[in-house]
Amino acid sequence: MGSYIFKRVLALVPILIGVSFLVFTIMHLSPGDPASLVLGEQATAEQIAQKREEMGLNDPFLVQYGNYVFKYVQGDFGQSYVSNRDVATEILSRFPNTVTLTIASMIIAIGIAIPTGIIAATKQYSITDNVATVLALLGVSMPNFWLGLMLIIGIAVPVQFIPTGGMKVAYTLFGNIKIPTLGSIILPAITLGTGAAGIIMRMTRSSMLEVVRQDYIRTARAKGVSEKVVIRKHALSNALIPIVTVVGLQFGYLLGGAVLTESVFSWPGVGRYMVDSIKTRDMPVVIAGVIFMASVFTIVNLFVDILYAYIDPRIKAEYKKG
Amino acid sequence: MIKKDKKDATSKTYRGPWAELWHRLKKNRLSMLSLFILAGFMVISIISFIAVETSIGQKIFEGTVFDYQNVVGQNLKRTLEMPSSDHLLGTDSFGRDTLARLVYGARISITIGLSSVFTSVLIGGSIGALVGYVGGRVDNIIMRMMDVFLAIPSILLAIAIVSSLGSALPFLILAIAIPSIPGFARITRAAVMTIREQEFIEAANAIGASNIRIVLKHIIPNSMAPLIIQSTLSIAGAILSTAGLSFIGLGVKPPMSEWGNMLSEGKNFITTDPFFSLITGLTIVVVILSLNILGDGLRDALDPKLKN
Repeated sequence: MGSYIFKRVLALVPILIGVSFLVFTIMHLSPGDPASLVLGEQATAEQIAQKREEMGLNDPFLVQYGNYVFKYVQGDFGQSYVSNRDVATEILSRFPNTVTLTIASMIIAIGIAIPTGIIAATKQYSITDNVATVLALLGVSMPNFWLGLMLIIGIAVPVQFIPTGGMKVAYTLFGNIKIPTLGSIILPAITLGTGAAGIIMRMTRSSMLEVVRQDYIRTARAKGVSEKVVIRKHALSNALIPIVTVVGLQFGYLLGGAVLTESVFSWPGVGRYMVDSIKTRDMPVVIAGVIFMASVFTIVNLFVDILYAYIDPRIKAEYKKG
Repeated sequence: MIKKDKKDATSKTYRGPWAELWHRLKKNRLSMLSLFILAGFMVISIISFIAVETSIGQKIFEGTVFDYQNVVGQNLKRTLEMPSSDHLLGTDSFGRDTLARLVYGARISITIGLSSVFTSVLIGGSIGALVGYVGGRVDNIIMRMMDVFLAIPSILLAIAIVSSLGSALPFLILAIAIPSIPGFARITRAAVMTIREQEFIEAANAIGASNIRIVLKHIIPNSMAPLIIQSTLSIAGAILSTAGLSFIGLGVKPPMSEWGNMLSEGKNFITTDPFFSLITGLTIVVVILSLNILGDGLRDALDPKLKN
C-alpha cells in the first residue's frame, strides 16, 4: 500500500506543474499590460517601462513562469494589483470558508442522495423510485445560482433568522476557522449541494441495481439472510465503490462550483474573491486563485483514489502482488 | 451473417443502426417529449435569427416577440410589470418584454451550446481517435496532457479563459469548449481502442484498406454512440456554464439578452418582482431537463446491454 500511495503522490507533481503552466499561459495571453494596470492611467511611458522591468515582464515567458512557480511553492502568490495586499494571505484566510460551505453541502447531498438512491433501487419502478429519479434529474438540471435566488425569495425573505446572504459567525476555531451559524449556511449549502445530490443519487441507484442482480445476492437470499442484512451488508458494501468515486469527484467539483454560489449569497470564500478580482482585472488573484483551487481539486481526487484502494480489495491485491 | 439471422428471428425487420436507434428512442415517451421541446426551442431560435438578422425577416416579424426592438427597446413607464395581454410574461426593470428577451436568449444559449460542443467534439474526438488508433508514446504523452485539463474544474478553467481573453462570442465558445475536450478525447479513445481490436478491422486491413480509410469508414462510425450521448449531455453543461458565466458578469454582456445575464439583472429586483427570475430560471430548467432526459434516453437506446 505504501508504494501505491507513494506512486500516486509522485504522479501528482507533473499534473500540478502542468496545471500551473496552463493557467499561467492562459493568463499571459491577456491583452492588457499589467504594469500600466498597476500604475493607473496617469503613468508616463517611462514609469511604465520601469515598472515592467521591476515586475519582470520583459523576461522571456519561461523565465517569468519559472519565477512564478518558484515563488508559488514558497507560499508567495504575489501582490494584488488593486489592494496591494499579499494574495496568499487573502486566499488562505478565505479558503476555510469555502471548505466549510463545501463540506456542509456535501453532508446535505450525501444525507439525501444515498438513502434515497438505496430506497429507489430496492423499489425499482415504484412511485417512490419514479419521484426520486425525477427529482434527481431536476437537481442536476437546475442552474445552482438560480436555485439560490429562489431560496432567497422563497425562504430567506419570509423567514426571520435566515439571512439573504453573508456569513454569520457562531464560533471561531484556531484563530481563522470560522464556524457559521446554521441559519446563514443552510441556504448556500442546499444551493451548492443539490446538483451533487442528484448525481450521487443516480449513481447510488444504478450501482445498487447492478449489485442486487448479482449471483451472490441471490445466494445470500437463498441462505435465508434477512432483506435488511442483504441490502446493508452484501449489496451496499459492494455498491459503495463507484459511489465513493462520484462523491469524491463531486467534492472537487463543489469546490469549483462554489464560485457561483458564493457570489449569490455573498459568501466570503475564495470563489467570490476571485469573481470580484476578475471585475477589477486583478490578475495575480485570478491566477493564484485558479491554480490554488485546481491544486486542491487534484489533491482531493488523489485522496479519493487512495481511499478507493482501501475500499476495493482488488486494487489492494494488485499492489501486493507487485 | 449469424448475427443477422439471430436478429431476424427476434424482430422480423432488420434495421440499420440509426433506424434501430430511432425505433428504440421512439418507444421512450419522455425522450420524445424532450426532443419535441428542444425542437421547439430550435425553431424559435431560427425564427429569431431570421427576424433579427435579415431585412425580410425584420419586416415580417415587426411588432412580434421576435422583433429586436422588443428585445432592446426600453419603456421606463412600464417596468417590472406582471403578465398582461401586451406583455405575455411581463416586463423587466427597463420595461423590456420578458418573453422577447427569453426568445432572443434562447438563440444565444443554443448557439453557444451547439458551437462549443461541436468544437470540443471535433477537437476532442480527433485527438481521441488519433491516440486510440496510434497508441504507444503519442497516446501516453497526449493523454497526460489531457489529465492536466481534467485537473482544473471546468467552470474555473472557463473563468480563467474569459477573464484573460475577454468574453467576445468566439472566446466564450472556446472557454466553454476547452474544458470538455479531454472528456471527448477519453471517450473516443476508449471506443476506438475497443473497435481497433475487432475482426472487421483486421479484415479491412487484410484486404488492403488504408489507415485513413479504416479510421474514417470503420472506426469513426462505429464509435459514434458514446460520443452522441456525451454531446447531448455536454450541450446541457455548456448552456449552464454560459448562464453561469453571464450571471457573474463574464459571459454575454447586456444589453444583449442571455438567460444567465437576465437572471443577474433579475437578482437586483428579486424582492419586488420575483416572477421575472422565476420564469427565466424555469426556461433554463426546461431546456436542460429536456437535454438530460434525451441524453438518458439515447444512452438507454444505444446501450447494447439493454438490446432485445
